[in-house]
Amino acid sequence: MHEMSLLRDAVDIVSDAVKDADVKAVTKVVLAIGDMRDVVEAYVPSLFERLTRGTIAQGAGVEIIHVPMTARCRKCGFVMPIDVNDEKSWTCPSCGTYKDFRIITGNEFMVKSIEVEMRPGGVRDDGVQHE
Amino acid sequence: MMGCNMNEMRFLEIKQDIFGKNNDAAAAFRSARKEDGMLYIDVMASPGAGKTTLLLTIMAKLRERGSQDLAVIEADLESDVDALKIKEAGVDSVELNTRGVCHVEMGMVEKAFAAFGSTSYEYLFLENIGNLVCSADFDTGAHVRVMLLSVPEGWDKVMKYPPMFSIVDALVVTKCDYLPLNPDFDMNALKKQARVLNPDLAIFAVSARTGEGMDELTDWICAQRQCILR
Repeated sequence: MHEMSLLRDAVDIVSDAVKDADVKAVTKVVLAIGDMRDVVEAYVPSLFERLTRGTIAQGAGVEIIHVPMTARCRKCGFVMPIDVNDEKSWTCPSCGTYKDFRIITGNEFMVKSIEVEMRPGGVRDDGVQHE
Repeated sequence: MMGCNMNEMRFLEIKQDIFGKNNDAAAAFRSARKEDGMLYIDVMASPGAGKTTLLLTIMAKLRERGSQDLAVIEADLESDVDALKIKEAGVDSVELNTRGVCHVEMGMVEKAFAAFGSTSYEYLFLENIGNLVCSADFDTGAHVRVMLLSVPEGWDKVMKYPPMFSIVDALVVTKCDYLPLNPDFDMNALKKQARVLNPDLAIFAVSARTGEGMDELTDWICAQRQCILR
């Protein structure tokens, strides 16, 4: 499955985000995954551990935040929760329109935030004393 | 002890979509092909649904209608089996081997397209890898996405693979010459379910072997090109 490919991209995003910062290590990565996404969560921790070896995120924990599906009714603009498996949820509770909406959340696969350990004050690799 | 350095922990907001890079590259590729006057169609299906045979028949039909500048990117995990068939038919073809990756991404598409060494095609097809699951997730930069479902596979696939049926512009039911041998294949039920998921879906019933439905499908493809030329 492509959990590996998606997580590899996530690791790249994390590495890029900290490359110019004064970061010693990334200790946690928070992913936001929409409910529509086909991701087997059970695979994530071990894949993530493997993919972060040798990177600044080596050993980082991974937390998954689920993003529920919501849609905006195209007739009246009401934002409603949606369940793809439940036809009853496809009717706008505000104006009663059936199945005329635009999905707005639930399809994310995002690196939301990271927890990092900053480099301590003191001499850095560049030989300069930092406060 | 001097200078006890408690390492400072911080949270950094990133908010970056993993598909973002691929989606941006796809949008750029799509736009560039439109500038070239090239309609780019992504063809997806399970293994064995008849993608290569259908493409060969479409090529023949397009040539009958005077379109000679055709190209196919043949994607598979490995091998050039399909690319050779296309080349034997006299159509420019490039193999895209994903080497075990279960879907095609933009980096692969860009590299394959560059291998043609030309941008003057009227029609570019991507014969995607045989997969009804992962391919739905990755934008390959196409103007039009088409999926095939062959009669021997059975009609009841819509609710089993909703993402694929939802994201395509057209569903081509192939191997319709097998319908007499498959009395359980409920074409009406398939169409009804597919349209519940995807109300604007164009649906074609074809047989590449007998030619049934191929003119209508070719008409639709030509019309899609007219849309991007506008």
